[in-house]
Amino acid sequence: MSEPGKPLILVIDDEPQIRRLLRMTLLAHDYDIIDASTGEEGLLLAASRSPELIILDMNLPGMQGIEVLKKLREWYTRPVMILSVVNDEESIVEALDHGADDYLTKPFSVPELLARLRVCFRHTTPEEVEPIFKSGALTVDLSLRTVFVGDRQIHLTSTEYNLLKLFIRHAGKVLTHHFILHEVWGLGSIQDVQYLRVYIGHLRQKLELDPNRPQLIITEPGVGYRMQLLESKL
Amino acid sequence: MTEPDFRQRPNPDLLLKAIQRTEEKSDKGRLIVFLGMAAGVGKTFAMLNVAHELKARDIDVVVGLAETHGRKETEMLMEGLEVIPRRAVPYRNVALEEMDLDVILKRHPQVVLIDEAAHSNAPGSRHSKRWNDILEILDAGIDVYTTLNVQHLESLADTVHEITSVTVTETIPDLIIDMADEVILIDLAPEELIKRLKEGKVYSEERAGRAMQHFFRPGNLSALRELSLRLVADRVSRDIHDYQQVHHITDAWKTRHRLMVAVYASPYSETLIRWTRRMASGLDAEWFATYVESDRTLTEDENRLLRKNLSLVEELGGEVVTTVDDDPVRGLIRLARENRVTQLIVGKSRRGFFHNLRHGGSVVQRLLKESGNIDVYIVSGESSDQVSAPVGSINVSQKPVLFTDFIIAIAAPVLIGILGYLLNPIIAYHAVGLVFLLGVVILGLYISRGAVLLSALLCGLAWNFLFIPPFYTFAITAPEDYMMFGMFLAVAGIVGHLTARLRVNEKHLRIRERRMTALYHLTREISSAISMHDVLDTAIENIGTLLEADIAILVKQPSKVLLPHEGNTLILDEKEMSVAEWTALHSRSAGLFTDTLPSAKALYLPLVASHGTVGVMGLKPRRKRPDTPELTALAETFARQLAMGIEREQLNALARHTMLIEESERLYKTMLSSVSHELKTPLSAIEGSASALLDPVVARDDKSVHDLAEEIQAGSRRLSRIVRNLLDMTRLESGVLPVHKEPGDVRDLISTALRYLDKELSDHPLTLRIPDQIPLVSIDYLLIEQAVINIVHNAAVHTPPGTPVEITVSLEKEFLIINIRDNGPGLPPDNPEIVLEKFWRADPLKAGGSGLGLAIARGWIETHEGKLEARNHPEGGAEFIIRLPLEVHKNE
Repeated sequence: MSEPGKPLILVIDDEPQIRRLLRMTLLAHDYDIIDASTGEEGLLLAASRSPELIILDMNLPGMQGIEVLKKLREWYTRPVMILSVVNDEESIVEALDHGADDYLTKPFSVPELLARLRVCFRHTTPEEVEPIFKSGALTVDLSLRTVFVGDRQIHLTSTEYNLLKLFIRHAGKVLTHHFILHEVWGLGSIQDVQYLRVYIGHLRQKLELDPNRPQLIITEPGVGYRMQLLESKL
Repeated sequence: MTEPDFRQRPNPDLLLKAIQRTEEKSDKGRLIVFLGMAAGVGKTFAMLNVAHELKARDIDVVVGLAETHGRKETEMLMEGLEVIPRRAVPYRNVALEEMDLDVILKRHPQVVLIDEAAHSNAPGSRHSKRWNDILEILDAGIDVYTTLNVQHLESLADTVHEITSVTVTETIPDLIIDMADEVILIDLAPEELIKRLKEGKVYSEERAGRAMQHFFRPGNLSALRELSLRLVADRVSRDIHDYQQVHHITDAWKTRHRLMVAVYASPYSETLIRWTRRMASGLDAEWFATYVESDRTLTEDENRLLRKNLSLVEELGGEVVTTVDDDPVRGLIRLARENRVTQLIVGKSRRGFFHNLRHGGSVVQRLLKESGNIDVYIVSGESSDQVSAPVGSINVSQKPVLFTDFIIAIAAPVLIGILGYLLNPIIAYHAVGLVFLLGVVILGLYISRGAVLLSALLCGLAWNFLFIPPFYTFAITAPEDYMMFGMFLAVAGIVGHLTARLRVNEKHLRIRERRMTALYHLTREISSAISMHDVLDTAIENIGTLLEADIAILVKQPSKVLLPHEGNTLILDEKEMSVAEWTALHSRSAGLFTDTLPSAKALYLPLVASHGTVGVMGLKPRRKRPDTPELTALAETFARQLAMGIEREQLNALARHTMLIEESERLYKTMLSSVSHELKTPLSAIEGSASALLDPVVARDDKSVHDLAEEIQAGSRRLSRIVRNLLDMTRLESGVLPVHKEPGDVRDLISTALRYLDKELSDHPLTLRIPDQIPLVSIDYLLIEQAVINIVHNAAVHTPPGTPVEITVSLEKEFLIINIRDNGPGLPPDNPEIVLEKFWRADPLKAGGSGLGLAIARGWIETHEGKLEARNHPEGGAEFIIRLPLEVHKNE
């Protein structure tokens, strides 16, 4: 059914209202969509239709969302976005650590959904690595290793720079504590989260216009951090 | 020790007893006794006849046990009645047959016939007497018809022995007559009975012949007949008495007598007890027995005898009061006065002349002298044959001879002799005598009386031999030395004896003191215990220490199950558990030292409080020891205290529970009224807007569509906030909330909280003051974030647009403070903290919240051992202060 040129999205959710809402919105925004109401059905569709992206609800009857995700990740390499309820941060983190690309909590707003989808697709489409990253007042030249807020140059320690680089590489995507710790410090233990908090604090002091109300590196409570992509003010 | 009170007129207790006698039977079975003067009068026959009558009236009657003795008429009567098969009890290679108690209880008929109430069960049965089986069946609510010959009654055993010179071995407490709802006398003229005997209707011919020569002599039978007639007549008059009390007839009331009988470890006491009981029933007086424990340690035989005597008292329906006193006379008089006794019954003294001399006269003489207005009855104790215990063992006086005492008694003179020898060159031999004397006095403080006297004698001899000239002979030359030697012996003897006695007295005082203190201590501890757990722990510790026993306390649960306390020092296996259960079920003590299941390892006492049995206390002495009345009495006293403590806690728990239910009902109602309104308002907005959107006319106007969609969005947000609050409240109240604390950044937390509130804060200028350096705080990020969201949300929506909101973070000692201040109308001035209560709302009619947000915030903060305060700022506006304990993390 899919028309050429339109990205195909698979929605796995047992609630008909959500499926209907997603179908309406996504079709209106030039995506193609197929849906499944159970995990098993979803896995079959994923294998037979190879969608560009999968939206997976964590609370499914029968096979649970996390199981579906694990099965998918055995062979499926494209983005998977998780739908979850609030107060279920543990399962969100678990899903992200098992290869989910991003998450949304129900009830979600449509503009937010579309923004997340765009970020996910941006990372899958191979693009040349931009040497200059801009977001809001922040400008980072990755080739020269310089960091500017407005026209003021900022000095970062190597750890801070590595942390910033990781955020830039995954700009717009949520990163779990575990992932960041592993990537920057090579640490595996979640007990070391306080290191991370301290460094995030430093980074915000140096990069944010108002460290008390950060705009660039924002906290996803209970899950991790996200680098916001802001309109460049320059 | 309870003190039955003395009274002149009917008092409520007595009336209650009388009423109970007539009404108590409602839940217990009725007891009907067929009483006869001897075997063969036709009791069983009469009982079976009644059974047939009952059966004809459709009453469920079974034969629990009937002895037909091979009599044909009786056997014929058994036909047509359901008979419970007997239980075989193997005993020394013989299979004895006994009544099957458990089957009867399980079968639970309306009426059960049980022949021969006085029968002793085969060893190994649950109860040693069939009479106890009957009690248990009555407790189960089954009516019992039983038979009894008059000579088996405990209080008549003596008289029967006197009349017939036959010793009755199977006796039964007189209680059976008191308890019986009806006593039916089966009377037969003696001549008639002898005729029946001759006809072989009672026993086989050979046995009948023997019986006629001994028991069934006309004279005997007439006497027995008179006994039984009198007994039934007495009962009738007692019934009238009961009636009088219940119906306020007090004219016939006479001055009450109170009889006290002194019981010793003596075979003669038995006669005394029976005498007292007879006299008491003749006078219609109360009676009780007393035992004065002295310093003498009783021998095994004596102990058995004493136990027998005391249990006889209880079987005859009397109470035992014990005390400790070295001087029996003093003890008796004290008890008599304490209990306002009018008549005191003692046996003739058989003490020797010296004993009397020492104690200032014979027991009887002293009693007469010191008893004042109490009548003293001296009863000669003619022993009955069956209780003649070995006299030798009973008359062993003083406490067991301690070998070490005598070693010391001999060693002391030797040592003092050596000392004297060393001192002799310096001091005169008279003074050496004083050294010896001092030694004797000191010994008196430590060793037994006999040993002191021996030592005194040895010291005298040593002094004489070594120091009084001529030396190294026992001869004395100077007359003053004679005098001094004689005086030494006298003084040493008297002083040694006095100090020894002083010590014993003091020891007894200490024992009494210790017991009183223990009881006082236990009572106080139990009354100050704050929980059931506390009460039980206290009891186990105190009672265990005092009685040197392992203690198990089992509390009866509402489901009737006995639950062992976890702090028990005595762990019960299945068998012991069943004894405990029996105790709880029947509210009677069982196990060790009792007649019921005496093979158990521990003594089980029911814990009886004012509303029934609340549990059972098991008590297992840590070392093997004989039962002493003191031990049992003390244990029972403790059990009463404990029972009251347990009941108190149970009532407390009940009150708390009721309060909790009332509280949650109130909350439920408030929640319904508050939340239903809150849920309905946004729902109707959503539904109205949605239906408007579906209207084709409205749908044409883009602006209307947009506004309606916004309306729906706002309604949904409100709904989801309420739902979230309700879920949070449920999580908070369920108390099972897991709090995942980890070091968190408060700056970060406030910023994410504010992100959720962009819309609400859009009309309020926000000031944030957060110091540059703030330590990480150990928190559950999401919970505290929610708390901050709820408080700031509250500040934003309850203040007029344009008023500023300020958030300030600061450190104060061990706390991190988050201060959230608005510039609105403020909180209720008389009680600002009320806004933190559940379902409290500024204006209940105005839509805008469930009244839960701040309560939840407080809940989350309190799960962090923090505090949320609400107050009015001096310059106006409300101020909320979150205090979170700082926990310093060193590995930053």
